[in-house]
Amino acid sequence: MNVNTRTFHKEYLSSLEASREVAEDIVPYWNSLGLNELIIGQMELCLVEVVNNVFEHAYCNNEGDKFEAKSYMSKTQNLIIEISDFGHSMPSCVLEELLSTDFVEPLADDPETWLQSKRGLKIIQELSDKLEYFSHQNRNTLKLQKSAS
Amino acid sequence: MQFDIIEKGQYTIIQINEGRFDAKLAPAFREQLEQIKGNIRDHLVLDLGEVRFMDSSGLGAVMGAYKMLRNTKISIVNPQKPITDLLKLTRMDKLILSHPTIEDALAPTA
Repeated sequence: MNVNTRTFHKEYLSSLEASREVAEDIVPYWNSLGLNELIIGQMELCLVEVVNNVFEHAYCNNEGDKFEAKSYMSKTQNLIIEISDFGHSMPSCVLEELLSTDFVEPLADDPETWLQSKRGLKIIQELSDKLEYFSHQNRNTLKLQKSAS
Repeated sequence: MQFDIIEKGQYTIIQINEGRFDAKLAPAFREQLEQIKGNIRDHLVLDLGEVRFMDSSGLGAVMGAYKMLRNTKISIVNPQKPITDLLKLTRMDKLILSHPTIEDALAPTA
């Protein structure tokens, strides 16, 4: 963590437990910023979902591939989280479809409603104020924003 | 022990002894369930009292249990607020009811 600019920035290697490592590192940083418990809890969930997506989709469940986690407070008091990977990028249609769908209410007599796809991404979209995804020179970054005020 | 299995009358209680029910724990939960599914009684109670964090993988594991045990009632007990919030956000609270205590879940009216 850069103490002078109060920016968290660290590299990790992909794995099934990487989301735990990132959360263990970054939650104390968020606590040090004085963020409230609810925001920290919601953003921890978003962070874990993003890191799991990196492992599962960008790196096809392959262990040992590099990704980066960055977090800071913007001048407008928004908490920013950026997770960057160097694997397979997410098709643009995934996010577009996400915006037009809602959580499916599971019905006891309709098994098709029980196992919803892209539930993790939907959670991220619901809990963050803004979600951006960009790819440049094999670097894919998912950027989340959450008002801290 | 990640899980404790308690047989009680017509009920089977699985106590999750972990703080995080996530992508790391979900496969072990599924494996545990596979091992005991033949012995699970009429009502499966998931005691999440120790779980302070759950993600979509944990949720998927619970839904996997629901799908696997088609004729078994499934309840969640002792959920901490982040878990209750997640169930509500994803609307899973409509399908799997939560109760503050095991006794509440086992009550005839639950």
